[in-house]
Amino acid sequence: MVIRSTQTVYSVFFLIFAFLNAAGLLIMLHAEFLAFILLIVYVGAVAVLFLFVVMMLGETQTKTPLSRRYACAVGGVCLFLLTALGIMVVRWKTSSEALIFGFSPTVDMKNTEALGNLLYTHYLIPFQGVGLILLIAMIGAIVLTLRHRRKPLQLLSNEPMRLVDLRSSSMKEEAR
Amino acid sequence: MFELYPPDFLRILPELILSGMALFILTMGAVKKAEFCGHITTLSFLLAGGALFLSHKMGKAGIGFEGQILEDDFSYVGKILILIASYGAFSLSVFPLIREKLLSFEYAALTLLATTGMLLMMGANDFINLFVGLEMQGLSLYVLAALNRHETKTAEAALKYFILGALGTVFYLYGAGFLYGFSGSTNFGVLAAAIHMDASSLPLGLYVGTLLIVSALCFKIAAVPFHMWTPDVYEGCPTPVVTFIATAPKVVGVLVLLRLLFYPFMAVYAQWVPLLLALSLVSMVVGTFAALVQTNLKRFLAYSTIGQMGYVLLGIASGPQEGIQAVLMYISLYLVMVLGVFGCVLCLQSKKVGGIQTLEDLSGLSKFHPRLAFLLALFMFSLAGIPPFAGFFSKFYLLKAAISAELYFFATLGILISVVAAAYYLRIIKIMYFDKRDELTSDFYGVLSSQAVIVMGLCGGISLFFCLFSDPFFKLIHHAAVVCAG
Repeated sequence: MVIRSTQTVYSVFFLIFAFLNAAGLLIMLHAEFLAFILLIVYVGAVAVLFLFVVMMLGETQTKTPLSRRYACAVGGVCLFLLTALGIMVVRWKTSSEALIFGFSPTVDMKNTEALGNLLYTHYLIPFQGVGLILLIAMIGAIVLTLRHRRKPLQLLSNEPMRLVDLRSSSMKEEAR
Repeated sequence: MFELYPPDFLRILPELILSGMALFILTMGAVKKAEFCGHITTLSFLLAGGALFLSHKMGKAGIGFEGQILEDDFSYVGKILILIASYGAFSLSVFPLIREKLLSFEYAALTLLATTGMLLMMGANDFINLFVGLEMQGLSLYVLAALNRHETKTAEAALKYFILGALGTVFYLYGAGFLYGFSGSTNFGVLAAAIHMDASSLPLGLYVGTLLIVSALCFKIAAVPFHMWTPDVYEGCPTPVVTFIATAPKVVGVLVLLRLLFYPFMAVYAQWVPLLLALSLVSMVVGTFAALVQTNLKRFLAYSTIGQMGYVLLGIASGPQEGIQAVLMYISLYLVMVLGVFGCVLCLQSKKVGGIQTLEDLSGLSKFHPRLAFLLALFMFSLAGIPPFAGFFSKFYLLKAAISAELYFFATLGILISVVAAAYYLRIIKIMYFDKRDELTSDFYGVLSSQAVIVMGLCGGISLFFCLFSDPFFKLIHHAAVVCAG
């Protein structure tokens, strides 16, 4: 329904519905932390952002949502990938040692607690490293978009300029 | 239960120092000038080097953080090389950066963070850790490459670098996913054990994963099917940044490739050797023959790098013991020579817009700046592999390793290709010394800063006198190679 709907707002709502379903699935898998993170991040932040954008753009009703051939192509590719994945999963062979490592929270430990426990002990270094990566991303975003006061002028002086005689054009306007 | 204990933190002391200093620079950048941050960066490289030496001397080798990091002689040598590369690239580029008004505290901080990422990669014993390091250095480099964003060419090059780098990351993640699916753990040691256990019937997924991870790393070191970004990035990005991109990430890419191939993937040796040989063959051929027809100086250097990477891959393919040693030697001498060449390019400045662009711009350099011309000629001789210089020894040991691994065809081809390569390295020397300039007005000149003089002098000294003082170096590399081969 997300891609079939002709109203963008409806599409977003259907997307939220899909996220809610995914969260439900995760809860059924006893992964309540991931489920709520999904709700908070995707429904709470991303989808609302989508909604804002859609509302800002105003009413954008697309007449033909997708051309049939295009839809068929995309569907075919997705079907192929899914089949491939299915075959992979069925015929997947793990090493005989792998079963030992199946991390699953024990009964007396909450999901969130288990995740926190792992992140701050076993995965301490990568966790901190990811923090540094986010910092780099932030520095990058600032460095690459920040415009100093003087920069625009410099930029202008490098670019080819066209002089427009304001007076004559305004006179023409008046003459009209 | 998990316990944090001090030796673990001693093992990652250099990383801690570098990242801490980067944060310090970010705070100081608000009030202090960029030059001050440059000094702080130099200081923190020295401190990190000291810390590395200290933690090695205190015998802190081994596995730390519950198998997340692995410190041994191999990663020690790797970290030394990374620190030298980053420090060299930074100190060579401080002066040109000030000249081009690109030096800012962010530049210093990003350099430090990129180096931190590379050190993390070097010490990684886990695919997650390796990935975090890879991304840390990658993201910093993308930002650095795009620093001069008002230039159209730079923007294009940086975008290309970013997109292809992201593609490489995707390859890596997909491959790591396959390997995780096979072994149930992201740890190198566990993966190695799992492969060893089931060596008789390995699933296809494992091979796909190996292939994907090797190609992701080949993106980083610019081996041939994955080299498309290199010439554009070299040409378009500011030369100081290119100096950094050309040295440290290449070194770390090669070393991580060594670590992966000879540690977790050692049991599938027979499967990846043909792959590496094929990559090496196309890299050598494409790099060398494309470099022959280049007229742009930096593009020429890019293709020459690609050709050199072909040799490195040949070395990796020639086996655990001698191959690793030859590759370590090759890559460290390559690092020295490339630092030197880029140092010379950075010192050249032209009154023309955009600085030195084409090879013809170098004509008559011996008249205008004999010392610079001499240094550049020395590095070119060395890169070409002419006997008394360092480059000869690195090529010699590499080809010797290839021959003792019975790769006669590839070794012969390597020799033939190096003859072709010598032609274009010598062409530069010919242009500098024998070509007359049409207009005698010197529209370019060389500017040397004291820091750059020291670094380039050292590089030149190593290239020239390597054969006399190579013993301790050999010893170090030999230990590292033994450790890496397991």
